[in-house]
Amino acid sequence: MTDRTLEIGCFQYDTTQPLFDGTIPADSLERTMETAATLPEIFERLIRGERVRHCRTGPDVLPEAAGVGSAVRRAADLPEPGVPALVRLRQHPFRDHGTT
Amino acid sequence: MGRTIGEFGTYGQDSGVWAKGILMDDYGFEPERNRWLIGGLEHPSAPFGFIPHPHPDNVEVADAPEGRTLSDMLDTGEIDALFSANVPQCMLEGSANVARLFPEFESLERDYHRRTGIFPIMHTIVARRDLLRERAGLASDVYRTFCAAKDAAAERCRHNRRLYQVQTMVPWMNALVERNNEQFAEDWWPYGISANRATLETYLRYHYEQGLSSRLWKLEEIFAPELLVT
Repeated sequence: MTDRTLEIGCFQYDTTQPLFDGTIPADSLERTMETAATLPEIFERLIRGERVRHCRTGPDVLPEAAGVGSAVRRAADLPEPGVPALVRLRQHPFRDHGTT
Repeated sequence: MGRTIGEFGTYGQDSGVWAKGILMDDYGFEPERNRWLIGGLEHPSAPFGFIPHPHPDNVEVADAPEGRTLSDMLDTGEIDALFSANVPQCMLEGSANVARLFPEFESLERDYHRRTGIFPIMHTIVARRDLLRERAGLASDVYRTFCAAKDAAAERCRHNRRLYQVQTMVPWMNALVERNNEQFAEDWWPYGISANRATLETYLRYHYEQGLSSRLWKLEEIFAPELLVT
């Protein structure tokens, strides 16, 4: 892992699974993929990451899948620009985790 | 009107914004004339603590009681309705106390998409602004990578269907795929601004109309500039 390695957090949907299983090689974008039991955990890591970043060295890069609303709501004080890769629409597969 | 309605995580959770907005547009729904209870769907949980929870002063919003889930409270009648992207457990278990607001939801949703061109979106990718400043072209690299992943997944789906190695137990999957092909053509999940502009602008309008943002945001303000041409 280099200091250009992105930490990308998102759920393992069928549309993102190729990022996790190596189908999409890392040469175009050096990255590590992370997920969590629930989506809010991923959102929270990004948002709270602003504090972590100040005391971290090395890869402190954290694009993440986020609710559109969360991004808009944060935009007033800490804009997190969107990348229009709209990972999943409408229905979540993991009901038991109470994800959003 | 005058009902107690559950919503997951926060007043203004993405699926709740969509549901309220569509009901406001099509049925004259008025969120402020109901009481909103925020909590966990299947597991007791406090409202999200990592984002602000703005809501208009005239909307009554409260936390669900400690240790309770919205699914259980719907089943027992402690809440009258639940706005959720996920089907609650009580519904899956066939509770006689709970029914869908729109039993014919699939045909209604497909008709809504045909009328409006909108297939409601809940998630996008966001990146830290300081990082995008430091690394020119990063947003495009991330976008292309996610597009490649989606394309690979779609090809995997087509390949498996041709070989009848569909990785699901769902019967009549071919019929569903054919209905979706008819509705969405080749790309069921288009990424990028142009293909989603109407959907995204509608979401931002709902967000503003529901008092969750202080002004009506434009797409140009919330997406990386280099990706506005996607």
